[in-house]
Amino acid sequence: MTMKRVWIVDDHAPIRRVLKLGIEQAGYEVDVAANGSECLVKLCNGHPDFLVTDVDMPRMSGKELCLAIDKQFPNRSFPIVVLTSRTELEHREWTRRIDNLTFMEKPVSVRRLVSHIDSCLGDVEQTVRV
Amino acid sequence: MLKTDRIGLVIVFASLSAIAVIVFMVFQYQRDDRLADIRSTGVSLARVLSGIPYDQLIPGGAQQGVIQVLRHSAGNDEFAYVSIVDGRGQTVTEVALDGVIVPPATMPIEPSAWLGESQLALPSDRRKIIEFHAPLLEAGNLLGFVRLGYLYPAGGLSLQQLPFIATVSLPVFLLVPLFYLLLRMEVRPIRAANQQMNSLMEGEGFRRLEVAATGELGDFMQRFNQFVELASAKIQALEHDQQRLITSSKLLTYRKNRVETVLETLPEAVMILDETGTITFANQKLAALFSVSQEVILAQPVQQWCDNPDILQLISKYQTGGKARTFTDTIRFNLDTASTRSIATKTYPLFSPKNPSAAIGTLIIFRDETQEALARQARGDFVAHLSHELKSPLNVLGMYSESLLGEAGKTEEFRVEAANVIAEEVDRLSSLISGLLSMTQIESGSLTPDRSLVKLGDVASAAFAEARHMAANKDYEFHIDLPKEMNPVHVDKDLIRIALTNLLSNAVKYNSPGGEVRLTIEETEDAIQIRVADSGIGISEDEAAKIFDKFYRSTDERVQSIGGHGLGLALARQIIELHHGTLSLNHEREQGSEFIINLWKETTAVKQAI
Repeated sequence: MTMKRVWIVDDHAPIRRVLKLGIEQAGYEVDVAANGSECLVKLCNGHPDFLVTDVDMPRMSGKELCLAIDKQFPNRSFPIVVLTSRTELEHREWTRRIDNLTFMEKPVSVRRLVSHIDSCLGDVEQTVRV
Repeated sequence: MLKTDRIGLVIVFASLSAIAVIVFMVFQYQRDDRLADIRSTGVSLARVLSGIPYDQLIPGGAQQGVIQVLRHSAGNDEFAYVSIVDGRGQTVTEVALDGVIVPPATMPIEPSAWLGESQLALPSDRRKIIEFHAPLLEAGNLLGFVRLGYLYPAGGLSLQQLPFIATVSLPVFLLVPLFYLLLRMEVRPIRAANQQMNSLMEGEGFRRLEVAATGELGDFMQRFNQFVELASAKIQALEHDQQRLITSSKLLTYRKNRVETVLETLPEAVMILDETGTITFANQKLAALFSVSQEVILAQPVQQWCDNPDILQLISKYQTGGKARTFTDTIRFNLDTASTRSIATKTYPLFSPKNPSAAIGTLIIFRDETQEALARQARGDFVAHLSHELKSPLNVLGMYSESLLGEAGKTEEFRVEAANVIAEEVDRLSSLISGLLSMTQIESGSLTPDRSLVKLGDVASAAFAEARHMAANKDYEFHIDLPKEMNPVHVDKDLIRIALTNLLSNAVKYNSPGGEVRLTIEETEDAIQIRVADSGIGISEDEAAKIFDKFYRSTDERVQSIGGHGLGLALARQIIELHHGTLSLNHEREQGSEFIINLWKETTAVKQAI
C-alpha cells in the first residue's frame, strides 16, 4: 500500500519542518512548499492526498492558492485544511465558496492536525471501499 | 411771504389792467361819439349842398363860394375835402385840405343809392376816409353829385382827455396799495402761523401757535392749536412706545445673538425645529456637515438639500402638524453611502419656559462620530492584528513544545533546532510586547526620556550592526556614513536606539534581493540629521500619509507577506517627537524609501522653546 501524500504550504521554515516531522511520523509522505505559487507549480505534476496551507504568505497567499485550485481543478478530491490565526468572519468568508475545505485555528496542535488528516483520509478509504 | 408778494403783484397788475381797460373804453366811446358827429354833420351838409342848384356850385356859379367856405368852416377837425362831380363822376370842382388828394370814386347809378356814404382811403397816405355823397338834381334830372370826405376819427390820447384819465387813475393808484396793505394785515396771522409751523416741523418741539387773530381766523387758530396739542400728545405716546419697542427689540436681538453664538460655538452641528417640525435654526457646523448654506437649510424643504433617508425619516417624525414630540431620540447612521462618516443624532424636546409641560420645538444635535468610529475600528483592527501577531509565534512555540514531548524530541538534532526556534520566537514576542509597552507609555505620558549626553555615532553603529546581523543570510549591501567627529547630544540612548532599530529593521525587511541599506548621519550647526535608506519595494504616494499611523500595515502583498505588527514607524516617530525632533519620509526618492530624522541640538531646542 502506497503512503498517502500530505503537502504542507507555509512560508515559515520552522513550521514546515516541525509539521513535516510530525506528519511523517504518523506514516504519511510529506512534501513542502514555501508559498502558494510554489504549491501551484507542484500541482501541475501531481496531486497530494491532503493539503495543509497557511494563509499569510508572500507571493501567493493561502487564500489565493485555494481559489486558484478551486478554479483550475474543479474535480479536486483531496481535502484542504487552512491554518490561520485570523478568526474574524470576514477572513473566513471566502472559504464558503470552496468545498472540502476546513479551518484550523492557530495555535495548532500537531497531534490534532494529524488526527484530522487521519480521519479525512480514513473516510476517503472507507468511501472507496463502499 | 412769497405768496403774499405774489398777491400784491397780482393786485397791481389787475389794477393796471383795469385802468387800461377803462382808458380803452373811453377812447372807444369817444371815437364812436365822434363818428356819430361826423355822420350827422356829413349827412346834413350833404343834404344842404344837394339842395343848391348844380350850376351854382360849379365854378362860375353864384354859390361856388360856399364850397370854399366849407374848407374853413366845416366845423369839424376831420373834414378832408368837398368835391362836385358831374353825372359821369368827373370832378367839376373840389376843395381839399392841404396835403389831401381827393380819391377817385364811382358814383352810384341806382337813385336809391344816390344819397349815402362810403369808406375810402386817401391815395397819398392810405388814411381812412368816410365819404358822404348826395345827388345834384335839376327838374328831376341828375346833373352830378356832391362828395363830402371826412378823415376817420383817430384813437389816442389827447391832452384834453388827460384830466379825465387822471381822475379815473388816481383813485385806482391810491386804492391799490391800500388794498394791498389791508390784504397783508389780513394775511399776517396766517404768515405768523406758517412761520411757527415751519419751526415746529424743523423739530423745535411742540407749542401753541401764538397768533393774534380774531373772527373766523381766530377760531381756526384756536381749533388748530387744539389739534396740534392732541397730535403732539399722540406723537409723544407713539415715540415712547417706539423707544420701548426699540429697547425690547435690542434686548431680544442681544438674547437671540447670545443663544445663536452659544449654538454656533458648540462643537456639534445643531438644528432646531419648531412645533410643526419646520427648521427654524441651523448652525454653521450643520451647514458644513451637509455642504449647503444655512440659508438653504432654512429656506428650502429638507428634501431639497438632503437625500439621506435616515435624516429625512428623523425629521419627518417631528413634522407632526403642530404638536411637538416630548421624548428624546438617538439614532446612528452613515452620512453617505460610502460609509465614511458616522453620525449620531440626539433629539431633545424644547419646553416653554412659562409652561414647562408645553413642548415648543425640538433640538437636534448631530454628532460626527467618524473619528470615534475610526478609532474603534482601529482598535478592533489592532486587537485582531495583535492577536494574529501573538498567535503566530505561539503557534510555533506550541508545535515545537508538543513535538519535543513526542517522538521527535528524542533526537538531539531536533532538540537543538527546537531550542533555537523557540528562542527566536520568544525574541519576536518580546520585541512586540516591548514596542507595545513603549508606545502605551509614551501615549499615556508616563514615559519620560532618560536623557544623558550620548555619542549618537555609537548608538547608530550598534543599531546598524544589529540590523546587519539580522540580514546575515541576505545579500544586501550595508553602508554607514558617520562624521569623524560629532558632538554628543542630550537624548535617551535606549529610546533613540529603538527608533533607529525600527527604521533599520524595516530597511532590511522590505528590501529587494541584492539591495542596499544605508545609514547616514550629518551634523549641522543646529541639528543632527540621520538618514536611513533602502533600495526596496518603496512606499506608494497613497500610503505615505498613513505609514506613521499606529497599527497601519501596507496593503501591498509583498509587505503583507513579511512579518510585522504595524507599530515600528509609529513608535519611532513618537520617540523622535518626544525628543522634539522630526521623523519624515523623503518623498523625493524615486527608488526604495528613505526616512529622515532631525534632532535639534540642545541650544537650538532651548532657543525654539524660548
